[in-house]
Amino acid sequence: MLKTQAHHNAKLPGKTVTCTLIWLILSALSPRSGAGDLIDFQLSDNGGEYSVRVVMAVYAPARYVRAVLTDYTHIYRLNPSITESGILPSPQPGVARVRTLMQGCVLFFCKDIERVEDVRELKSGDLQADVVPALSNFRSGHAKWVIQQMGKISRVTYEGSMQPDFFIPPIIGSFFVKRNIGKEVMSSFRRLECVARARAQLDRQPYRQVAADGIPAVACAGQCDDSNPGCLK
Amino acid sequence: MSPRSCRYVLLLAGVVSGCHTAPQVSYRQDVYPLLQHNCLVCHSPPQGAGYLKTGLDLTGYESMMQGSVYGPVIKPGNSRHSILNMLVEGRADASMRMPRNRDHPLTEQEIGILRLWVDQGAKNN
Repeated sequence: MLKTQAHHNAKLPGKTVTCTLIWLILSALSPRSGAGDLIDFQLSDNGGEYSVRVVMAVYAPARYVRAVLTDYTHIYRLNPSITESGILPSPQPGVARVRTLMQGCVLFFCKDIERVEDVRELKSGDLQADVVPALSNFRSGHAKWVIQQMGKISRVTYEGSMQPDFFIPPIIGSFFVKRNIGKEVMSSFRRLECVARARAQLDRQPYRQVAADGIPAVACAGQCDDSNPGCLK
Repeated sequence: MSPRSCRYVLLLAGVVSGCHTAPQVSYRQDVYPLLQHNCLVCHSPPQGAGYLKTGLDLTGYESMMQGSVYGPVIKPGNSRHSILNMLVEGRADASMRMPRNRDHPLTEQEIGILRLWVDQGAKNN
């Protein structure tokens, strides 16, 4: 899920994706997005390397967004496609090696995709992740999360790139792969907001009090659930 | 062998033997007793540690299907993507394996029952 580093602040390669395509993807996603306000969304395919950039206003404080992104033992909360996850022995101090196994499906083609990433928290508070190709189904992959406090909410920028190291049937094509990547990223943003809000709420008052106040037991389930986005808005 | 264990064995035997019609798992007869024995000490309101931490209440079918404050934990028909199954099977990080604070994880038999029940639609039967 996490990608880019060298591409940060650089122009995305293959920025040849037409506005029409972007809006087609966005319109397909937006009815179910449920997350904060989308500020920017770019997705491109540069000869088999897929790049994505998303900037979104997330309705949760920055420290909770960061806490959720670095809660590696609960990383499965951020993406419903994850079927296995875990923390592997760290290769060096200050680096978390995180493994995820996801089931990726595009049309009729499903594949289990393994990804091992080395994640670093930078001095700036940003997060940088680099795929370990030898342990992953990717030739390369990088990501960067930039989380900025913006009043009571956060501005979250995600820039990532990845180069799959597995066969994708030509019939599926770049369009569907990109659409799937876009969906996965947006889904992760929805969950990120939901989980960060839930954690912030539980920090303010213990769950017992939340329940006693009549807040539904699943205060954020609706937000996390694709079928009922935005219930707390 | 207790009647419940006997039922588990029969249920799993049906699956393992490759029967095309898997035996129907019952929430009331198979799943709830298992949850009661392994999970309710923490996932019960008002004082259970797991309940207080996540809001997950496993004392009833409805509350279980509602999930935790972080969202649903069961995806009917799909045990692979159900968080409850992930956690009891140890597919999330090993430190997250449920039930926590117990000497032993669920048995393969119990894990199989939960998996089958979810794959059969997680019905309130």
